[in-house]
Amino acid sequence: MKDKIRNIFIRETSSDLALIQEELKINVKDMIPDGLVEKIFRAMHTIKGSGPMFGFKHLSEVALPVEKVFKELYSRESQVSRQLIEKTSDIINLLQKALMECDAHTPNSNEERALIEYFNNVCPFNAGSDD
Amino acid sequence: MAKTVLIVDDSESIREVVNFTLENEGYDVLVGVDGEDALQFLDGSNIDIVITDLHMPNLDGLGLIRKIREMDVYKHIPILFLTTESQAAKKMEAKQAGATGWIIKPFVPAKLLSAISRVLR
Repeated sequence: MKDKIRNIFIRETSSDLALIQEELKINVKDMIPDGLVEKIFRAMHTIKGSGPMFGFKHLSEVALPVEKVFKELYSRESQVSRQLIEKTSDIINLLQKALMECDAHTPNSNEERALIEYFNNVCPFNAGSDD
Repeated sequence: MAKTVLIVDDSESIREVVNFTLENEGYDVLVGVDGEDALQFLDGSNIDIVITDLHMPNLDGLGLIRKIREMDVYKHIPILFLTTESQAAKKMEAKQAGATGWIIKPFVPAKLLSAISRVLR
């Protein structure tokens, strides 16, 4: 049963992330629409809260700073930097890969640490410029 | 007679974990995928407790609680939030809306079961 539920978590989270990634690529230029901000926030919120219950404690720590950023942006159709959009796409890629690899995933790669640091330090309300 | 629990969560894996845990303990379980979906079960039927997530599409947990508290038949039903949200301000908002208690995700099944027994006592 534990494995069955874990597989459900992997399937539903991977599917949510794939849809977000698709929307980021197609719809987003320099504005993340309200609905997509909410989807990203909820996906990160789910990974943060449920990940540890299914053996993905590490991903919960990756999702936490992204969730914080998108919580700030929640319900605001704010202009954001191209960099924030690209970093969001990068961290979603990383989460998708980690879910696919399951226990074989190696945490704390340089790329992962750099992305976490970016999301820990970015201020979404000042993210309108690309400097 | 088995107690009936209404679970409301947009995450399938969380619904499965809670459902599995409660059915193993002999509870009858009803499942809603978000607040809007849960309303179909709140038709006067016998429900003993509601366990709901906070952040959900369509109708979120706070909206659901407010709707439940407007229904005479469920005015005093215990409602527990099962959420990752732990901010004091959010908890206060939930309490004011009529929440009975708060369980933080990630959770262990024993903690969930003990919270349910406590409010059903």
